[in-house]
Amino acid sequence: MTGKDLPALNIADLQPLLRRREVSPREVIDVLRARIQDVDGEIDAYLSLDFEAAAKEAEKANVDLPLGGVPIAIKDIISVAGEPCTCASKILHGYRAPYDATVIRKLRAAGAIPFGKTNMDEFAMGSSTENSAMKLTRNPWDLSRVPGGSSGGSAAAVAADEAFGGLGTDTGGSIRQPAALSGVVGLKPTYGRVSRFGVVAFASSLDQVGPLTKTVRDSALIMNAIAGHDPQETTSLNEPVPDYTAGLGRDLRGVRLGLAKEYMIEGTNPQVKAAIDAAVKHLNSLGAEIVDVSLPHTDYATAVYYILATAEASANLARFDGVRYGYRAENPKDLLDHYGRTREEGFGPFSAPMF
Amino acid sequence: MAKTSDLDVAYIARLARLNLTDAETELFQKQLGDVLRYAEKLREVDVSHMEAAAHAVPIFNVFREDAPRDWFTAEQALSNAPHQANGLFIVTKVVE
Repeated sequence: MTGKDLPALNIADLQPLLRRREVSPREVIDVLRARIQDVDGEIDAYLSLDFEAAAKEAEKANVDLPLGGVPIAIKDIISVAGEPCTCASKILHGYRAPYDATVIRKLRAAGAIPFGKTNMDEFAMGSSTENSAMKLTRNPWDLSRVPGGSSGGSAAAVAADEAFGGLGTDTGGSIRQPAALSGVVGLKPTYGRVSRFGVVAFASSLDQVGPLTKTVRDSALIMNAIAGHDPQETTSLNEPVPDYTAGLGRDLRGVRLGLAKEYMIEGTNPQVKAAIDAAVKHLNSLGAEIVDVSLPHTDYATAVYYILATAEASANLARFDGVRYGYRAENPKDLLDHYGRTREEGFGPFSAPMF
Repeated sequence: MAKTSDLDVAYIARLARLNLTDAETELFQKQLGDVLRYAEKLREVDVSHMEAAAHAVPIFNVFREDAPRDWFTAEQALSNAPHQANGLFIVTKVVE
């Protein structure tokens, strides 16, 4: 294996190399940097990079920790101390996070190294990453297509081997859908499992932070690091965290999975239907029992989502007033002009209607 | 139930301190109308036998000790302020 091949590795395959001292955390950062320089001009997954800070972290990394020396890409809605956190909005242009989000603190405690912030739909409102006020991110499999969203930067970075793994956030599909569109593994953890402290809020009754990775095992490794109770987050669950890797590698005998008939509707893309049928067959072959179930309220989910998400976003985005942080309109003639123009000039076309 | 046409988007925008162009007002009129139709759609569902839930998991009244802790300095709190002086946020004039 040469250094050039390193970025293609998943986390679990990179770790033995680090632990046997065949490659140093500093070398990993350097080859990742070279990979990003090579391909990110076309993919545009990242909004900001800080290899200087990452290299410093790498010099003192303890590779025997659960994620020791592993660089992780971070969606630009999660606070990393001293780094920009724009939410891909002009209203947070120039803002630097004054502290680490709990998930970042936990990743660091597990030895991981944040090094870059990834593109997204503005304030996580969107599902293609086209609603970024900064730039368009391309799907690495086909540059004419979107990577999905809103965590499209993290999904594209992982798919293009520009990151060994990444963090995203999911309110109404923003990890799972870009993972699907970019061909990586994405997990929205159970609500309350992962702290949102230090994560810019969109719809607080739905938001969760979760991993985007190359493999299910890597997803489990990141979950082991970020899950758990946080006294600074009142909605976080005070429950023991299982070892997420414990269930890997087993067959699925005795597992019963429901397939909701409401999800297979007229107009379902035949390729999607074929992929689900293939998954059912595969799960069956592993011993799982697939049963037809009905979720009769499925048709109302979209309605509930749009009512709750818009109302909660309205409350959460009211904090952007041009006083304490972020963009502020020049020379307002009075207070109403200050608020009105700050938001008119700072918010993109999609977040405004959320009020 | 309010009709879409009853929605005064310009008034709502004033309350939310948002400046909207005429085109945006028209667009958001339609989008907010969609949300109202969603609310109307939910009336079809019989929830009389359901217990109301305010939270996805049963966590209630999370309190903490009212104790001081090390956190932001004033300097850090001001570090992202668009305008500041003498350790204070400068705000747009609110009194004559």
